[in-house]
Amino acid sequence: MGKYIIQRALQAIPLVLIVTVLVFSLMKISGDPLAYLAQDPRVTERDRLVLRAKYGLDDPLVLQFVHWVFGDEGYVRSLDTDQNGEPDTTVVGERRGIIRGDFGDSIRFRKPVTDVIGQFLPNTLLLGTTALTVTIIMALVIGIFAALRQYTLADNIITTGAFITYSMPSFLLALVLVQIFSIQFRRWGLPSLPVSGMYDPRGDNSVDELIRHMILPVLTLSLINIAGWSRYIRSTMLEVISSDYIRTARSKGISERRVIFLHGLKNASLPLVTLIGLNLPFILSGAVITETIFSWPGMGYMYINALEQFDAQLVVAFVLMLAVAVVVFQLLTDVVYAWLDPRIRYD
Amino acid sequence: MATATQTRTGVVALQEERRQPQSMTRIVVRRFFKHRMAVIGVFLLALVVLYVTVGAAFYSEAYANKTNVRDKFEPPGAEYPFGTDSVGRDVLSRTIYGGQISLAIGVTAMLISISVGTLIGLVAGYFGGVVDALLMRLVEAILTIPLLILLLLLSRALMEISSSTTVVLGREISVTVVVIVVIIGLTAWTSLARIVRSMVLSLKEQEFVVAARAMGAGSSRIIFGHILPNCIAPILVAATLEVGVAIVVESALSFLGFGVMPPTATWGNILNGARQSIDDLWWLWVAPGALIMMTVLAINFIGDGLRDAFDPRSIR
Repeated sequence: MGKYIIQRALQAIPLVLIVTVLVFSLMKISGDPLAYLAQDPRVTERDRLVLRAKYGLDDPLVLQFVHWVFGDEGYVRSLDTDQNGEPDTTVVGERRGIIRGDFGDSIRFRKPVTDVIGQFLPNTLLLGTTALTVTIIMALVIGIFAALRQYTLADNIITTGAFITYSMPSFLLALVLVQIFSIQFRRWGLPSLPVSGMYDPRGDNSVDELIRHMILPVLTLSLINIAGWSRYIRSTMLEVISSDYIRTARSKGISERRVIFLHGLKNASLPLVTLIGLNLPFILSGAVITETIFSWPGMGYMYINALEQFDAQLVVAFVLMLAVAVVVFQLLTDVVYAWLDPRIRYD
Repeated sequence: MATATQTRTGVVALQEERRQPQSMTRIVVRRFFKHRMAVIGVFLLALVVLYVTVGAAFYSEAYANKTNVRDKFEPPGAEYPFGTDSVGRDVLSRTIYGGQISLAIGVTAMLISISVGTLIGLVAGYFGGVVDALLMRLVEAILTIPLLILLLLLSRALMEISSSTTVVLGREISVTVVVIVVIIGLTAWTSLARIVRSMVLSLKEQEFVVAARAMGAGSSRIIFGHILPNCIAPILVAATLEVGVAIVVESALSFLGFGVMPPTATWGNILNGARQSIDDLWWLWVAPGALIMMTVLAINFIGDGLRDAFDPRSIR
């Protein structure tokens, strides 16, 4: 087992390296990170050159990459700010590199990128974990229900519903939910749900308000996943209940409920581990679309804003952290799966 | 199929049931049209295609792109059956021309991603070794960044050059259309590459490939003449579903403001108008939203039908 974990971890290293190079190249294609300075009349040509030197923007690309990853503390760059052909200023690098958690500063928030992410992450986690919990419970209930009533009217209705929800882009689902639960409910005089932010703008920061604000985004996030996951659970459940040990359990006179939920579900939920493990990092990414529609101040919302305002350091840090999270969770999923299922060999 | 008949003399005679030999294509087509959902899918898709082609006969593209600020945010009425957007453009005619662009984006992005995915899968599977390892790490690297996040980043990185228009097939369209097609095409090929690769790995050990090699066939002949034709089923299924994925992804990008830029309409950027006030601009998303959903549902049904039609386990 230990050998297996080490082996898998070693495989992840080149992957992380490739992703880092990929993200770095994208950052470079995106253009000049200091372009915004051109609009500021207080910034002189000299300031601009010093800043360019500080971030090593005129260094060779490979060197820029190395400095970006490992930092350039103490690296001295000479500058010729008065254009007379002789260096007159030196700029000493002070970045510590992404490997030590230094992703630079956000242009918009004027503080370290890691702080900005720390500020938005909890909101996304709150929304994401709630949605995931709802998804798992509902998918299990619907999936098992459909499996036990295979090809009945109820099963067919669920299948059709799942297909339609599955084909629905999430923004459309969000817009439909808003139309029904916010606009129409208000029109009909029913208690309607808020569609924007986390709390009441008039300053009501109670938990009640938070829950009311969470309902629509959580519904949006869960419904589409429930559609897909319940199909998956239905098929694994069908496979399990037609297997020999279930028949054995039944023939021993164990109650049907016990057979299904103890013997069946236990084995049918194994693939669910993979599903959850591979989806956890996507919770971190926040649902970009859902968070944007509902102005939920999470990672996805932050990402869209950072892209719009060209906050390159923030964008890059976010994408890279996400990629590393995906790799780590893939690794964890494999390990947990191997640990749960003794049929899997490590070699 | 053979049927055994007991004759009077007690001799068992085997009679070959007389049946026309059928090609794979014919079997697949027959089984596809027996699939109820697939037929519904074809019907729905035909409706959408009719809508965007026949509709174009009633409205000109110039009309669809014409702004009229005095009539902005008109709800549906006699003059504008589907209402107008933030600069007074007619939503009905925009869903027609936008539909043409959305479908075209779906198909062209699919062509790119299917070509790239198939080629990479073939090369990785056939040559193996270092080439395979490198290509598969690349696939994994692309898969570690969620598709939408990656596309948003690419779109933002390339958008600087995109505020102009270009002429494609005699129509003036925004350069952003080309950018979106290319970035979707170049990111969405990963899963197909994996499928093709795994098929090649098993195919290349089979006798007919070994025989072809023994007869002196070169690598490209073996790959394209012997292995590729045997991978056609998963490629066709993936190609179908890919059109739907590309349409949804394009509309999501455009909805978020990182996709196709006006004046060129797509279903996604019509929806984008609804973002300004999700409270009361329902006509900006109902029509394009319904069209997107209908198209994607149809494509998913067709993809499902194709998968079942190709599945050798369900040969009847």
